[in-house]
Amino acid sequence: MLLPRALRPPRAGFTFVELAVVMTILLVALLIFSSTMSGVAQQRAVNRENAVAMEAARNWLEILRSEAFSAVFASYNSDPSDDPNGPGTAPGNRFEVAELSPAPDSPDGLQGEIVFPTMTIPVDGLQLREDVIERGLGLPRDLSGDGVIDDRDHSLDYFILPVQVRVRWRGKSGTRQYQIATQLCHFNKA
Amino acid sequence: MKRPSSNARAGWTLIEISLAVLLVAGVMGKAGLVMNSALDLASDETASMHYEDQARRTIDRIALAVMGSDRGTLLPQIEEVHSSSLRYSFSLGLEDGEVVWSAPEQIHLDDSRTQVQWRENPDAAGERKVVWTDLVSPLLEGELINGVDDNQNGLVDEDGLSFALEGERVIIRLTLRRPEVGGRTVQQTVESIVTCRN
Repeated sequence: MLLPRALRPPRAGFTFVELAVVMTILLVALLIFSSTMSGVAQQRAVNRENAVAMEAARNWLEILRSEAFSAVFASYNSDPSDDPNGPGTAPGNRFEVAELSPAPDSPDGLQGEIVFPTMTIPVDGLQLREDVIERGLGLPRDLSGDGVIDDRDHSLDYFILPVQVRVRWRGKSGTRQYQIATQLCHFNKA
Repeated sequence: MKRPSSNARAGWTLIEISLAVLLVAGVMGKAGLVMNSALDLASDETASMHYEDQARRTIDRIALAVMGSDRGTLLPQIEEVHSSSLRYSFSLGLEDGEVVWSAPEQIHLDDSRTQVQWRENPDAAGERKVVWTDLVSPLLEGELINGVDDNQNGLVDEDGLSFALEGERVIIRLTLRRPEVGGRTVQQTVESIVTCRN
């Protein structure tokens, strides 16, 4: 004969609901752990990309600094026709950073770019200008040392050369960019 | 009086429990493996970052020292040849219109080829010495002693610390390397280009 329900001894073991709750908690804990790990890994990758980009930009600034001052613009602008040793002989304004993937909008598959305050005039071509509005380079400003900001080409008589080195790449968290700007001066070693 | 059917009793059969235990054990085992490999990876990455930080810190110190020097005072002076040692003097400033130079200093790999040492007044009575890192790889990453430029950087059989002169520039390369637990080796290479300012 069965005892009434109230008098029956409690039965040992877990119910299905209890097990389901435990499994859910474990699963959530695992998900939190794995998402934390992947977040940390992604942050590390981003930090590493930053370090590589920064180092590349700094190295290129040092390369510019080591060149003869009067030849820097002609050697590292985007116009190959004015290269000091003949058309197409200078490094130009684009460079490779091997450890980074090029950005999807890179025109030539390279990651680095050297930027001067220039303007392209239809007949005259690329000009180094004082009147370009480029806040990142501190322009407009006097580049030739004559105390006047004019609208002439100063590629042959610049005294101060503002330059920006830009690295743009496809990173773990999308397209990213690092840039560093400085001004090269004539009183450096020429 | 009619006896109630035994089918109404709650609980799992032995087969059900066995299957559940097997499934739970399988899932937990897999989760354990994933966690283990994730922790291993994280540990490797942490070590790698640690060495990269140390390598960058060391190369920044070297770069700063070389930056303040005069290209004409660097030893060795020969271009196209790499060296694991560089002697220099750096500018302390101007006095009566003349540049005042520091005592000679040297950055080099020691005899064990694992330490980067900075020395002031090298080989003189008042020599001072500081070890900047002791994790230098015997050879730069990717290089073997075979008379060939294995890592295609233009240098042959270069040490873990190498200086190469190129016009006004000094190219500094450094590889740090250390075996980790489990037989893995972590190594990091950094490169810096410096122009002498004086």
